[in-house]
Amino acid sequence: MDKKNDLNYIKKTKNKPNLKKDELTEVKNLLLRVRADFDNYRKRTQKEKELFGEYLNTDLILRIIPILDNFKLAIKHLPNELKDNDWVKGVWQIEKQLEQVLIDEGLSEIQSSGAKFDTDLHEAVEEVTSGTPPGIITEEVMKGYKLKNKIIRHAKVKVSKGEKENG
Amino acid sequence: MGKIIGIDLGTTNSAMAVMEGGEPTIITNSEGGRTTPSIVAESKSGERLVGQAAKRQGVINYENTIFSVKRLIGRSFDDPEVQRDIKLVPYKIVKSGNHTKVKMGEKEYSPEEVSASILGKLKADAEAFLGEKVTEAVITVPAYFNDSQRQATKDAGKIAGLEVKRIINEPTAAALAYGLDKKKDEKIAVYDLGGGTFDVSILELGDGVFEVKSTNGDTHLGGDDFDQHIIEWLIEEFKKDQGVDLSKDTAALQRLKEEAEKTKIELSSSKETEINIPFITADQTGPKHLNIKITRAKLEDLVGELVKKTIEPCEKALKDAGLKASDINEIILVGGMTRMPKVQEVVKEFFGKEPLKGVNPDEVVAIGAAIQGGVLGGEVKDVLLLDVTPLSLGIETLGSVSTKLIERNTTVPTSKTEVFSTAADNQTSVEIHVLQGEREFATDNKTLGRFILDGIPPAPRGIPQVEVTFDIDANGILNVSAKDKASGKEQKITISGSSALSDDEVEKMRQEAEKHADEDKKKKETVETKNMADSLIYTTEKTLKDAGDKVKEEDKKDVETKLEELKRIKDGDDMEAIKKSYQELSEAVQKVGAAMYEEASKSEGDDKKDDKKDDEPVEGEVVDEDKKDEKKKK
Repeated sequence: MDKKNDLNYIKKTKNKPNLKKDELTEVKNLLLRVRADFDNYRKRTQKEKELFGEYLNTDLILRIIPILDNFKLAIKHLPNELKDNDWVKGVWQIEKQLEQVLIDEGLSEIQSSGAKFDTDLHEAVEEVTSGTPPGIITEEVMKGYKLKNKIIRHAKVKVSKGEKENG
Repeated sequence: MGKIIGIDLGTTNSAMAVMEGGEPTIITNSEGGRTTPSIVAESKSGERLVGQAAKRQGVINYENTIFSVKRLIGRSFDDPEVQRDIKLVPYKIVKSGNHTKVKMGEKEYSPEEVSASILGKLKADAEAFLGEKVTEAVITVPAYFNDSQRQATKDAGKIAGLEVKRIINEPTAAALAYGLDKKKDEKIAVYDLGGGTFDVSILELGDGVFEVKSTNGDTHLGGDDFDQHIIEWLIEEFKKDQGVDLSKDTAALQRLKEEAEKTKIELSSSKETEINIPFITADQTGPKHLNIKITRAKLEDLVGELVKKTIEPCEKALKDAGLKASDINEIILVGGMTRMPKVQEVVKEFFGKEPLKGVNPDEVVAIGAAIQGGVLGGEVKDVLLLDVTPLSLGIETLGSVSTKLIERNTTVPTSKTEVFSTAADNQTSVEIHVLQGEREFATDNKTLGRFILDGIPPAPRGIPQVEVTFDIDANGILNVSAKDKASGKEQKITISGSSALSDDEVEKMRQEAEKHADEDKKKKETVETKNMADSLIYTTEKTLKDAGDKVKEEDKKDVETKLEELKRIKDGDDMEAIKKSYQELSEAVQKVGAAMYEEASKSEGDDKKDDKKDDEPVEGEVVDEDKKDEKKKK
């Protein structure tokens, strides 16, 4: 029989969209997937946004920290005869001021010297022979910092390997 | 079905990506990094560390910190590469039957097991990122990997709990990331200069399939060598200048290393930078500072030989493929070092063609792997290519400003509704002038259509609410409707082919906008300032009228003087004066408002009036041309 003249056939095909069944399933699946993707994306973006807000200043603070480090180094190297100089004291005060600004933003130092080496907090740059027990930090080469609860710079440290060379 | 992630399991660093909503996205690791060091260690306390944590303790635990294990995977112990590495790495490489193993802690591990640790961390981090289980992956390998190396990589995935749906070549992944599979019959060169290795591959594309024609490279050349050259130069310069040798000073070296990396990056975008390390060291004479200027030319001089070293492998690869440089249709850059202008220049010179840019060279391989994963998972289909509006769409508002409703590059289908108001008292109709383009003023943009919404009940300006909706469907057909909320009257227009501009036209319009951005901005500011002044004059007059005798005479006088002043200068060109006068009047009228509020604080009705005084000028009032004229006549 000629399908074209079969009324029932025409009715059936007329009412049906021109899509094969598996095509439809495919499109449906794709739609579901995109929706799920979007939902997950939305949730993650939300989380990121919250974190972003909290740690908005991280990049800037990371760039200011070396200045604070250098200030501290400058003071460490301060010649004895200048220690009571009022002008020097003024500069010293500026260092405190800078530090306070960063502390107010949530910055805190990671304690390193004398502590046990911990990969979560420290980065080892050298292993040294020393009187302190192995695995203990002997010297801090570069200060580490936390911003609120997040470590933004790991402390760079030298770690003791004990009294004797054992290489 | 879960997602198939794409993993670039690198020699130095690894990265991963996934298809999300039809687009590849880099998956960040648990520390927030976009790449993860391919390093595994067993700490002194017996803990297994992977990635950054392993890297941080490498120096004090070098025997048990395994890096570059990719160089060993799938190779027999007698393989020359393995024999070479035995001399180079601080950890132990041992023979186990015919196979190679590495020693970590008390035990020996196969390279597959070590790679599995890296993949395991990536898997866990991906699960945290996606919030769902991840069990399938596409992993990339260098094009020169043989069957045994590919199989070993697959096994590493299996050990990590990943079903490796496919192993694909790194250069192929890079080509996929650039969508080159959509082209036909091309010859592609992939230049991959990473942290520790250099690879060049020649691919031939036919019928959507990539065939690797040849590969070459240097397994021990990468970004780390570049840093080292800079550090050595700094040490030398400092010695010349200050007579102190920094090469034995760990603390100084650390600071030099950080600065060298920073310098390399800075000199990719600027021509000159200053390396500034105060108090780098001290001797009997006191503290010493390092302060050296370095130009891009100097840097290129320092690393020139390293860049040159990449040319010979390129020549060989071409020769092996039986091609000339001019036969190559596309060049893809992979690896962070290819950001360096000198590298790009050398590549361009060699192939005589500009390399493709746009995808982050550190991430391009992982992105390509994710796209392959998407294809395998049935997620990547041509039917769902999303379109974007090439230019912004908006309407004309007061002062012939073009107010955008839909910004350019918005993915369609989309719709946006904003409420506008009238610009004059008793204005009963508004004209909706639909515009396309980036310029700030209506006259500079393209008119797509216009219609009038009338029958708005007479009311003071700013009171009627006309809701304007822009709706673009997936075919780029734009429907604009305007509805007066009070009367419910609605008008609309359908504009088809709003995106039917040719690419050239779009580009031209975009460039025009860029060119005129500054003057447009200034002009718009002028119009906005005048609009604000107008609006304040209007509310001030209304406030004074409403206030009647509730205001002290002196306050009223003060407001009136300032009002006259603003009226006098508002059409002039001195923006600063207008702003100042605006500010003064605004403060004065606020005082009046406050006084009124106090007076009538018990009566509710006056609250509203007080609110109105604070009413900021409506940003985009719809202008009715006739009414505007009328107002001028006033």
